[in-house]
Amino acid sequence: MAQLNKIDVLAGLFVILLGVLSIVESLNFSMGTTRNMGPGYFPFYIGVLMILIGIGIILEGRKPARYALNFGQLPSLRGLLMILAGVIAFALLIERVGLLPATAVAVFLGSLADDSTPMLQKILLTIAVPLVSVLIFKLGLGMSADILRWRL
Amino acid sequence: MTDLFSHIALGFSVAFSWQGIWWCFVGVTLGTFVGVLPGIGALAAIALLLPLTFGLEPTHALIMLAGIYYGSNYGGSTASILLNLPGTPSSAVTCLEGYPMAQNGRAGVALFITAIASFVGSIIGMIVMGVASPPLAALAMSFSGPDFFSLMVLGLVAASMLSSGSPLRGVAMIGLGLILGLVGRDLHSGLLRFSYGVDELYEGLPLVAVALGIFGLPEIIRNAGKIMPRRMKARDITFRSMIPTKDDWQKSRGAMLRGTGLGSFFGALPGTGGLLASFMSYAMEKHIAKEPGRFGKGAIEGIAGPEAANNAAVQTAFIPTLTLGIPGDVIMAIMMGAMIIHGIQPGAAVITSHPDLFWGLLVSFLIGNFLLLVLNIPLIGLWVRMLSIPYSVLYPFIVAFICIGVYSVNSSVTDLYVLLFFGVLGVVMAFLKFEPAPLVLGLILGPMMEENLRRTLTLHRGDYSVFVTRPISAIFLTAALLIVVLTIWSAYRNRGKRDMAQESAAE
Repeated sequence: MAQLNKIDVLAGLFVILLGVLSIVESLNFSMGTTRNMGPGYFPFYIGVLMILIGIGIILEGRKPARYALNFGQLPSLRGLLMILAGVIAFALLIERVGLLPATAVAVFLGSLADDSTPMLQKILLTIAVPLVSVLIFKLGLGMSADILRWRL
Repeated sequence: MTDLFSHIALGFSVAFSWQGIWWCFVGVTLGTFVGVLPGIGALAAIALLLPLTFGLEPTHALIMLAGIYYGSNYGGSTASILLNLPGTPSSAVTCLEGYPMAQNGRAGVALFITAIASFVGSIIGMIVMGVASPPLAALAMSFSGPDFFSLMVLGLVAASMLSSGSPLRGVAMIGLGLILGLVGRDLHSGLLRFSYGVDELYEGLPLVAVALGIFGLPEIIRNAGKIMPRRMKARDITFRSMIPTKDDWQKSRGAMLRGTGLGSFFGALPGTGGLLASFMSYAMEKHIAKEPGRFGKGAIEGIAGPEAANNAAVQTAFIPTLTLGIPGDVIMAIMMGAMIIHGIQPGAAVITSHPDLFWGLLVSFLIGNFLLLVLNIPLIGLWVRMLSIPYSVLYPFIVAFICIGVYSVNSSVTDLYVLLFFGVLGVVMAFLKFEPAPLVLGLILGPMMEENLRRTLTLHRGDYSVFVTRPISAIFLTAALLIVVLTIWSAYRNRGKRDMAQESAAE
């Protein structure tokens, strides 16, 4: 028998997990009847469907290895962490210190994702991008957020 | 007939107002811009700019957003031809002949023919839209709950089966999208579902945050720090070098018309869109060419056909969205989201209840395509120079715009965490080879499907057979089934073929 393919097993398990989550959530609500559906009906059956699809994906991997899908390329850890850190920093700062500093921190952290550029470029971007953003969003489009504020 | 004329007159009055022209100009310029720059697509651009349209009239907002969509298609081919890097997925085919032409010193001609083919495709696609939409919408007025449910099933099946990658994976992502569509308050019971204690999600997941998270962030994460190959030196494209020879014209003319035909047809089908149409047009041109050997070495028909197809498809993709309320692709799904945010329920009633919107949008395509012709022929040098902006300078701007854009929709920090969550999900999905597009379609259609299903079954005393006994619904379900069967059959057949090819190669 041909071997199971790792990526398909993982992908299938991922889909099954999502199905289980959906079913678990649906159990918090009444199923109702087909005549008068409760809020649990649709998520329950979609969950069941997802589990079936997940099993299908696992079995799809049972073909000979030469047709196998390969895992997608994982991004560099540095890129992943720095971009996410930028977004998190923005989320934490926007309502505390305002648009300009929040954007600057997000851009600086984000620019660290690329280790091939000189620090001077990163610093210039950290200054330029927030200024351009404020010009576009605040002055150009009348966004309501404060440019600067202090509410920790 | 007089009706049609008065409608078109209405459209002209809306689209040719100062504001109409201005927002159309803004849209197509931005569209060309994001199309030219690899690494930010029309989808991300539309999602980003969606919050900026909140203050506009819905008609102007849609004119601008649509302009971004078709403008990016013009721009996308520029990067394909000059750098062999498709700016948008549907311009990938243009690389095949466009890049060899550029290497032969015929980049100017390739860019010129691309612009003309795009224009021809768009204008004919627009006419098809104007002629086909009103009767289709009238027909759709007679649809009821079960018909709509089945139509959505058909749309989702088509989208998952015909998109790239494994069909089962596509269906799985639709399922995930449907589940995510349930997040928030259930309209019947008022209960919060799938909110996991985050009460801010009662209105459902914020579409802009989801779309930018799943399409925008993984793209940046993947590309940041990667050295981009083949940076462009600002090679000058002179106007003289753009003029095609008589032979070029003769070869392109038929290809454009054939491409437009394919594009108009496939664009209007939900779930297929420009990508499929442009590949089919390329295959067709290669098949009917007298000397197929020229293909791959810069055959001009290989650009003219697919570019016309792809742009015609972009125009006709509006047909199902505006007449049936079923988006054909992700961008149309976002467009539908935009309409809903602006208080317009997409569907059969749009043409009759908002004729200014429908006809104004239609006529704005005419303006937009003329503007694009100007932007892409005399001003091409500007865009070529833009190709030399390195990604390391570009992406911090994108990060900032995504954060600010997402936050500005609802002034909500929760939306930023939604963005983050979907960014991580997008990375995981790319690792496991899942496509994000069906997910967004499912997310938009999920609530509507549940609603139609509930209403139908309540009205028909819980009897599921109504879906097959009502003729319209039965037709849609049969079509969906047919697509599934055909997909499985062709996958099976191709596997057999590949088997033989593999074996003969091994021998």
